[in-house]
Amino acid sequence: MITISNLTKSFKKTLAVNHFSFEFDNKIYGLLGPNGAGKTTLLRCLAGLYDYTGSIKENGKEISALKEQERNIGYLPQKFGMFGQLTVKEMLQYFCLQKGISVKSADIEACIKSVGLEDKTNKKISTLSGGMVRRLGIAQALLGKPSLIIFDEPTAGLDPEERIRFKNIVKSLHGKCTVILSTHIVSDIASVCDETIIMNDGKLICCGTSEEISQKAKNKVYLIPEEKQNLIKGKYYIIQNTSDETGKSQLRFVSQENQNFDTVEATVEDGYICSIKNI
Amino acid sequence: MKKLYLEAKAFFGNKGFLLITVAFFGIIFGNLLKTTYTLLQIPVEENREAYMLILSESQKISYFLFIFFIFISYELFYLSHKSNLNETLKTTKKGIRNTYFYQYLIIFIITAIITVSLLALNIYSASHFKVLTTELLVHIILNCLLNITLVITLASSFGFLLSLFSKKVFAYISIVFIAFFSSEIFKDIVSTLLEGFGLDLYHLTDLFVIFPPNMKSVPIYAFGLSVLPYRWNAVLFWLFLCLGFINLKLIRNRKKNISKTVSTILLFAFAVVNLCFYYTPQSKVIRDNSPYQTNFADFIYYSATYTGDEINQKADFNITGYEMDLKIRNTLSADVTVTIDKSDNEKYIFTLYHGYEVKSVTDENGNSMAFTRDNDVLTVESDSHTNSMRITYSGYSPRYYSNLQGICLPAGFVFYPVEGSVVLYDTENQDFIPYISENLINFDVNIDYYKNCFSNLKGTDTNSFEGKSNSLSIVSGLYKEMVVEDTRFVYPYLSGSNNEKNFRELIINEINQKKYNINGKSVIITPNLNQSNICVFAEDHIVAHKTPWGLAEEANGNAKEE
Amino acid sequence: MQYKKYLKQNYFLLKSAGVSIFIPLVIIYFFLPFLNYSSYLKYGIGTTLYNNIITYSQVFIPFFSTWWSILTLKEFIEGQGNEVLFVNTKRTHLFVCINFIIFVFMLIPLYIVYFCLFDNMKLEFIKILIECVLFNSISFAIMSFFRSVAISLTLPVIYTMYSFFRGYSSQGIDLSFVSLNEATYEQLTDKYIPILLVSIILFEVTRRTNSRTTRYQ
Repeated sequence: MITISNLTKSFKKTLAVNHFSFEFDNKIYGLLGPNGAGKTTLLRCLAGLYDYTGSIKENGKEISALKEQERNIGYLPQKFGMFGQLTVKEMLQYFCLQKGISVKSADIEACIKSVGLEDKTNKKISTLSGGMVRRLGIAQALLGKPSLIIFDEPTAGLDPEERIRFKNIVKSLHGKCTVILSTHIVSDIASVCDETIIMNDGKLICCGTSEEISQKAKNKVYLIPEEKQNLIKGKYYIIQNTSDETGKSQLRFVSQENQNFDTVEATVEDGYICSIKNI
Repeated sequence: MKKLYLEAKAFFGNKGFLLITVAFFGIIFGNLLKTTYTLLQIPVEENREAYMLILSESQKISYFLFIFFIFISYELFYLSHKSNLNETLKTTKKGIRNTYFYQYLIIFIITAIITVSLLALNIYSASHFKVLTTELLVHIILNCLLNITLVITLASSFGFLLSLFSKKVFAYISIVFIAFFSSEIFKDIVSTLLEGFGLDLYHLTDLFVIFPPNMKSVPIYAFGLSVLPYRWNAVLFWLFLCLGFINLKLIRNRKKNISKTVSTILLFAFAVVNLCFYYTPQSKVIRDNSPYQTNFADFIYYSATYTGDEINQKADFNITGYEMDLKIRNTLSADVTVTIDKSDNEKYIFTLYHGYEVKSVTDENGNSMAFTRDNDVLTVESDSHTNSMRITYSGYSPRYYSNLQGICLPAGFVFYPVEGSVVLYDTENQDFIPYISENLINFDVNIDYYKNCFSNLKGTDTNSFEGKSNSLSIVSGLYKEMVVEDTRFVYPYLSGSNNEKNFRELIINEINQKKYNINGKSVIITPNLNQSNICVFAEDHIVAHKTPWGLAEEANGNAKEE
Repeated sequence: MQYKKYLKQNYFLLKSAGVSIFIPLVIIYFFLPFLNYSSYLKYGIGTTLYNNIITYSQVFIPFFSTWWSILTLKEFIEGQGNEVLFVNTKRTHLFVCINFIIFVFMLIPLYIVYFCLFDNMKLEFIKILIECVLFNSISFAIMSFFRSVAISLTLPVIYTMYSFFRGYSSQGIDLSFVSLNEATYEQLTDKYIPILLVSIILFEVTRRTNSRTTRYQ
């Protein structure tokens, strides 16, 4: 269990994380928020990369007091790279040595297979595409059965098939460790995460299951033909421009006020917008 | 081992870096081997001096290794940052420091290989020329450790420090400026600025030039290449400073703790200590245009102090004996008791080279005597009868060195007090005027020095000498002693040839035996320190700064009347 | 029009380098004149001043003639998101040419002063130009083949120092570009014309055979 109490982190005049408190269990958590919300800063604090004020405890022990060998985490940052001259297998061996895991006991082949890179095992990393390097990054985060795994934009650059593979990998970790996943792809969170945390301006806005997040937008979501936009009353926020079966443009929006239109079923994305925009 | 292999592969797997590294070492060592091979072809019987050239050439590459290793270390330590791996590595158990450690290990292994190779080259060459002694072996090892191992370690620390800064342009500019500031060119620039503007930057800039000095000049065979303590202090100063900043940069990003703060403070403290030792006055052997530590220093001094009207003033007393206790470390410290033949003077005038600062003068009863110093002249006030005076002094001469690596205090140089006011320097010829006493004096000399010393006097014990002469010479360093028939030769064994039996014949035949009889006398060969006098003739010995072969060429027609 | 585009692009690339673009100007207009004036104060107009001028010029000018080219091409090699620069820019060698020409123009005022002091400075100017061409070719080749700014700075510095050390040692192979003797027509034809030819060939070979500077990868 990881407990964050009153976590604050600022960079010169910018307050990146503002009195953030939360408790993480052995579940899969999704972290949502607009750009500059403080998600990456929060994850880096959890990973032990930053000094901070407040408290982060892992199983009752303050992580800043823990020695490096006492923590076992997997981390995939937003900007991630590898040594281009090493092969895939060698790179994972390198990470095993870094993590203090015996190269022999770590199941490197299984890790490579789980991310679908078995045919690239002995290829140099400089020959891999960006998406393949990302998959390798996921593989290194899983090495050594860590108690906390942090993914920051893990599916950036992955093709749809690999995204599905990734989601399956994450789902398989359920109950075994704490997984925190930061992404802009709401559907990934909706399908994988047990709980979703929404951040804005460094603060925790709300958290809950996908259903609970969606509920925030209940009876506030409308879908109307575009030409009727001028009939919308009061403040509203456009979520999406779509088209119906006939190809006619439609507008999906959220509004606090009662509109003279029928509401539609709210999604997690709608709930996210409502939380961020205070609708 | 696996980690080491992976780290090395991650860097040298890049064909560009591998090619550059191989090409660099190929050119540098190819050039060195070619030079060594050429010099090794010289017949050993003909010329031993080639060995010193090999040692010089092998140490000259120090500068190029320094610059190259700054660059290669920078790229190596920057690799994880460049590969966007830093963030991930910092979260692992071993952390980023583990990566740095193995990268340092790679540099260390390469350094060790280079050092061992150069040691082997030098030892083989020295053996080939039959000059390898324990003393020379130690000298070679010290040179390689200082000029190669320590310099590369410093370079890799610089490279590491630069890699910790995120702005690459800053690192590039730093590498370029380090390359220029630490080169011989910078010394020339400083010399130009001093000559034109009178801007003296030597004290500041000397610290930057950490490579073997005197590489432009012919080597001093009796001294070898300088491995004096001040050179170690300079390199260690920069090294500890670098390591201090590295430690500071590494702990800035993590939660500070006492041990890390203490270690940073200690590193900076070591740097300061080395800096202090570097700047303590000491005898160095430098042959550039610096106004402080070279032959030029004496010219500047005497040009400023001499008016041109100086003449020798004979004393009204004579010194009949010297009891000297000399202690030589970085400077010469002397405790000299002079016995005089006149005890009732109110004033005694002596001459002692101005580089030796007089600490005290006491009479035979131990009572303090007042004294004044005016350049080279020492005037002692006496208010009591005394047959002897004890004069303690210490210091050094920029030309006639006395330090931990060697001693060159030849006859003619006033490194002990002599009676009267003597003009020591000729500003027109930019050289010392040799002083030889008119009388024979009893000398009893004890030298506290860790190496074997040689003198014109008879040795009574290790580094103890006594005898009667009109001048005193003391040398130490890479010297050997040999008696041929009844002439004793003290000479640098790295110069000349192996045909030592020719020594006496050459001197007898060529230096005009009719004018100077060397039977039963000593011939002491001192280094060429830009003296204009080839030979100084004393009663019991001759001091020459060329080898007999050089002497033979010069002395025809130049031999001094006895 | 194309050249105008490259000129403008060159301007922006140099601007992004910040204060460091002024370093060659500081060297040419402050540092070298300062040194030469110091020598003049001591020795007046004579052989020593002449020797100091040609020594210090050969130490600093060839190396710093590559400074702007390196700063410009740095963005193509190491800049973040550098692929976008290659979309409309195919002839990166033009940046080297542009920066070289600008540098030569910057050098002319200094050498006009030298011309006034010594007649032979015309030949020295040609000599220094050839050395600058050599260094620019070498830097361009290194940046193209090794794609590293650090190497393209370090190797020319090592080469410069090697060339000066070479003067103090008669041992080993002579690959130095430096000549500390007064420039003569014979020297130019025997040593510097071949250097110029080698430089041009190196530049052309780099431009034609190495596609890494004209394509992103």
